[in-house]
Amino acid sequence: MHKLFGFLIFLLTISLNAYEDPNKFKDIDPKFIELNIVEPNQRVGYTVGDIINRQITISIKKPYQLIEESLPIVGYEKRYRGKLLGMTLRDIQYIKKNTKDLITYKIFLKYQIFTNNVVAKPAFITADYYRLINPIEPDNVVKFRIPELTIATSPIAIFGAVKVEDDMSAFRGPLTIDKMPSNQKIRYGAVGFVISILTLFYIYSRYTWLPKQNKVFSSVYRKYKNKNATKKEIELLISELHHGFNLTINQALFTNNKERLFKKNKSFNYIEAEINDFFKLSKAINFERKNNFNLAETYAWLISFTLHCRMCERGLIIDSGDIKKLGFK
Amino acid sequence: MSDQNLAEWRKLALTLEGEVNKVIVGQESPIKLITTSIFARGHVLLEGDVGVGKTTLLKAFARSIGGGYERIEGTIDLMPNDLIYHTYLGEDGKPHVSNGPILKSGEDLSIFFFNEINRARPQVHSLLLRIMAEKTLSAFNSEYKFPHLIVFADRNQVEKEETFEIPSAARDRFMMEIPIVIPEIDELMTSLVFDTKFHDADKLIEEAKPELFKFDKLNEVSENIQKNIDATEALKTYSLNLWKATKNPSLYDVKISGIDVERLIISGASPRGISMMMKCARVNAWMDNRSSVLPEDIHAVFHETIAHRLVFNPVYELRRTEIAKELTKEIINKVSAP
Repeated sequence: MHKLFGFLIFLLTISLNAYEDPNKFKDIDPKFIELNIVEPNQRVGYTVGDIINRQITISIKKPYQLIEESLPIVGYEKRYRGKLLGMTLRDIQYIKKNTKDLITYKIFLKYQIFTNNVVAKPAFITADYYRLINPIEPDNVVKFRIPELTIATSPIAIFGAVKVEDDMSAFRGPLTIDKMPSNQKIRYGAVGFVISILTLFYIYSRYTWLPKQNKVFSSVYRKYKNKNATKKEIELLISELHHGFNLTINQALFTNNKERLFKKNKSFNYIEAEINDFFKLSKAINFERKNNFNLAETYAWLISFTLHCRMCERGLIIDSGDIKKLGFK
Repeated sequence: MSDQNLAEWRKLALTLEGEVNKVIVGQESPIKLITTSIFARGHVLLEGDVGVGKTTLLKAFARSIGGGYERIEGTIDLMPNDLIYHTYLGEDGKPHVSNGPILKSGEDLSIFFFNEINRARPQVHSLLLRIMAEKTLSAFNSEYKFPHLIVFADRNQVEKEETFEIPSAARDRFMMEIPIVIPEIDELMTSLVFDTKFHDADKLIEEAKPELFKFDKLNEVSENIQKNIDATEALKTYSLNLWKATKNPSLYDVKISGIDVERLIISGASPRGISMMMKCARVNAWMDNRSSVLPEDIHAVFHETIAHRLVFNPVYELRRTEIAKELTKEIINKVSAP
């Protein structure tokens, strides 16, 4: 019990030390200070939730400096004679400008009203005391008073008409949440969604396969990758690959107009050696009746070549290490 | 004839090409095409401006091939009998008849050059047609044969005055129509003007080796080439598609800027034309030391063997050279193989 009592005494001592009597410090000589306050135009009619903006510009002649810790703290509730006034400092920002002779502070204060009354009633933002210090005499702290701002708070409803249901006017709509920000968000979201879809469509149509996009090598690869290596299948695959090249350049591709293919799609440039081998194989099979090739190896090479063509078709670059040489002579 | 003999003949063909290339500079492609037509045993129509070296080119070939070489100039008053005989008063005061250029060399006639053929009358064209097609001539109650004859003719397409357009039937008899154009290479043009060796054409021709081979063996060699060079089914399909494209280019999506392709062609290539194209393609494959014809062999001779056989709508006839070049190029581009 003693221990608890001792602890409470300790807390009280600390809290008393935290409270500082403004009269403890002397006022600064006014010649060192130049004060300019921009007060809000509205002085009356404040009600719960309203914001009061105050702009204070203080120019302090050197050697005096403002002790920035003495500026009001956000969340501090104003009191008068120990009673809460119902207004709180919501935000404080300041800009400091240091010149040869002066230190100027431009302080932006935002107070919010948290009180209401059934009749209009005077209220005020109490005076603040900012402390200053002379670095030459660090023990000699002085204060400067920021004058109070007198305002008047007003009721939300007319006196006596405290019941909302008794004040239902046909000319006043119901109190609703403002839908503008939500609508705006939905619009931005919709635009973003459409752009994303179009971008994806562009990427997929240009670089990957979509139906009716002339992506011929993809379908050839899918059609032939699991078939058996027979001479007939090899002939058909070669024919389909020729057709794919012809579609790619919109004319018949031969060995002497390969540049047209490379111009149309630079990716094919990286498999030029494979394309040459393909033409060699195609000529041998279609025009020279050569049969001295291994069916399985040749078919595997053709499938790999088709895969490379599919990748080229999608604008990808084939790693030279992946390119296999056709063993066919 | 064995494969070995064909290989030896191939060497001779390449030597012939090289010899003529020594004499005529900057004409590698026409020289290869003429060599091809010689081994395919086809007549050639040369097309080009005056003074580009057509006669020199043919004389060089005639010298290297051997056999009889005759020429005649096409003029508006040239009559068919001028090709067959001359009449003159002899020293004895009596009229004499001597053989004209066609008969002068007899069966040994290997090259007959008809200069400016479009200046001659259609009667002359018709006689020439028979000689070209049948290689025979009836005169003086006898039948003359020219088994080794190849006709080279040229036509001047610049001048239209006092000329007779060669009818399509006559054009079709020629295996190739080869354009002779001086390449616009400064170095080459300068040497043609300033190098004195090009000033004397007769002396220049002497640089080509004479009688490289026996001209009377060419028919046999040609037959063997046609027999030995293979054409697969895929190639047959390809050449058939090319033929169809010459008849109806729009079927193969052939497009030419500023030309209504649907209305362009009145008549496409003839069966004779396509078979001549294949003969030339086979010779081209043989000269490139291959035993099968590739699409590239057809490409090498396609324009020269086909363009002059196409009959265009008269609206486009005046622009024939330019349109035919574009058309054959587009057909090759659009018809796929295999």
